[in-house]
Amino acid sequence: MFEDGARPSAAGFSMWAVVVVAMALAALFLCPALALAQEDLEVAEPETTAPVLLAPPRGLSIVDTRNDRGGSVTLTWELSPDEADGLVTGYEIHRSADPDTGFAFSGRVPAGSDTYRDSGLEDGAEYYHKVAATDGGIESFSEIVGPTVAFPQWFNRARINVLIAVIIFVLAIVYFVTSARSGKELFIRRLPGLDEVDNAVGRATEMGKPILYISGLSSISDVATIAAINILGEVAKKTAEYNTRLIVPCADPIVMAVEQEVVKEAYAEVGRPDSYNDDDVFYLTRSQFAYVAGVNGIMVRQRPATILYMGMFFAESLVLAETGASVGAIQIAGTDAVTQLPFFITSCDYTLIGEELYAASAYLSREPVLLGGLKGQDTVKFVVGVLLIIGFIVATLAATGAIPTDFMAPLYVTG
Amino acid sequence: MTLFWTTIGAILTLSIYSFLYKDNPFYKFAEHLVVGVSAGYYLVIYYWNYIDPNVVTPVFLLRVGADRIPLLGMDWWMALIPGILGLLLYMRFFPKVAWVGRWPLGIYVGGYAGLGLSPIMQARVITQLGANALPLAGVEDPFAAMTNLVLGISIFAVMTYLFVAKRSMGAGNKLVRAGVIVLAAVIGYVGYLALSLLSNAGVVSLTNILLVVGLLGTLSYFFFSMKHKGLLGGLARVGIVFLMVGFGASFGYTVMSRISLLIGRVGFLLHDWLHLID
Repeated sequence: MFEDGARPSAAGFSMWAVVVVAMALAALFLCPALALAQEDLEVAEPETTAPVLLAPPRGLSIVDTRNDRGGSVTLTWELSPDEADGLVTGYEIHRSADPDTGFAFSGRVPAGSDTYRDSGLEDGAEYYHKVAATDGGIESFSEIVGPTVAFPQWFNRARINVLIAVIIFVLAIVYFVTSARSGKELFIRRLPGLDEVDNAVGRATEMGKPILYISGLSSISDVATIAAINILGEVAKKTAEYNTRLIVPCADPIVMAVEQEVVKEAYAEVGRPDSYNDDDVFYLTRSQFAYVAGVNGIMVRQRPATILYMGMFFAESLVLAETGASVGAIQIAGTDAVTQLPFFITSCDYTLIGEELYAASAYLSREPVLLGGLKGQDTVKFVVGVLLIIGFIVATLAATGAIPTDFMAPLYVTG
Repeated sequence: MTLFWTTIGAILTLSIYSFLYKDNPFYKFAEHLVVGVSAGYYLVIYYWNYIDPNVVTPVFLLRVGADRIPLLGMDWWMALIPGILGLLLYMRFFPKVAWVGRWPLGIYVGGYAGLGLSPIMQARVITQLGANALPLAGVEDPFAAMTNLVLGISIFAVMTYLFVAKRSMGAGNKLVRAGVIVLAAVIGYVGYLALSLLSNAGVVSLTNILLVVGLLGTLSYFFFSMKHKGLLGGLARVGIVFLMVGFGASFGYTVMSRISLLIGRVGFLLHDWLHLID
């Protein structure tokens, strides 16, 4: 606008100043006027589209949630009559510690729902609730209901069937353990895979090569790992008797500690505590494929005559078993990992499927406590089989209309 | 710099794959590297995921926002007992008191076994029982017509074999007996067609029958208290057939996922490292 060296004239400056002041004044007066006009528009808008007032849900009732650990109440209500017209899209639940104020949003359920479990409450504190039918914008609240107090129950009545099943299981175990201790012979059918353990240990002894025992990658909290540790104890007794080296690489530090104790105990039990070598039961790594790399290295360098895979396995199963087969080892596997069993079946000489793994320690040791446990499991399996047969007969009769209801169905429901 | 680390990764990948030929120094190097690095890595993970939040923080420190103040936390006594039990594990390094190290192991193993009993009974026994006590008839089933067909033919063929062919024709003439069975099957099929016109066919559920028979058979296989002879033996044989069919399906499915792992690694070599493919 201004060229180099030129100066604006006084008249020109005054004109610009007048224009700017005029615009400022116009803005000062016009903006509130525009704002008011906008408010008028916003207020006026509902007049053109009449608001739809939803009928609120009725009959709101609230009780402490039964059979829980506390911290929740359960609300039930009758659906808004406007649901039939498709006006309601959901229900919003609000709660407060004060019936007069402070209601806050707690949760939302879709249309058609007439119950809600409000959790995250403090046990023993009083709460008030109200439920609103909503179409996404307008909310129509029910009456306020309360006070309601949440508290925990000591006994979960919805799990009485579980309690009965556990009692049957425990009583069966106690009965069979007592029977076994009194000298009664308890029969267990032959398990070919476990019969081969003796041969496998003997083979390693004759060949002067070690036995490699892999107890899976899971932690001690896994039932399969506990079963694997039990079997390790029995295998360790045999290796101690034959003075054969037993190598146990572990993937979990706690499992390693337990396995060291179990193997040491087994060596002491057969009178060879000095043969036990702490370094043969060692921690390798927790990382899945690093563990595989390490174990594969052990296989190709130590050339074990026998490899036992017992416990919980994941994707490493086939890599381990293939490497074991390539070094000419006799391999016996046992796992309850359903997805890994096919790989062991195809690449190992013998495979213990699922529960055979749990039976193995009792089978090998013939100890009364373990035998009692196994017989207890069989008792539960027998009861389950009978209940299953009764269950599908009753279900069939109910489905074909021969009897009014399936009276067995409630037995299977647990809370 | 990226190319440098990609090349290191590629060399280590090839070193591990060299095991397919035979054990060699490259594999040994990669093996020891990955085992050592992962063991060290997990040591740090164990500390920060287990020891720090479960023992150090509740017993010795109090979290205030992002800061940690050296005070006794609220639940310090709950963390102290497991902490002491954990320390007892190290008693095994002192031969005179090594036996004390068995206490925490006993509590740990026994605790997990006891705590697991009720949930396993609920999830693996009772809930499964409910899910499998299914009606064998009176429900819609996509294979219902085929079920009736198979059942009709099978029942008629078996009955004919048992009461006609076996008694009247002796044990030697297998060809004649096979012919009788085929004939019986054809008669069974014609009978089925006639019956299906007269009655409400398609009420028997093949899916549910297979499920129940498979379950009872498999359960029988895992029954250890009796010899697998007679009825139990027959059921157990049915069970092992179902198991093997299931394992076969699982095998094929898992092999496909392993192939995808191989494809991923080859993709790393050819794309990320050598840039031979897009």
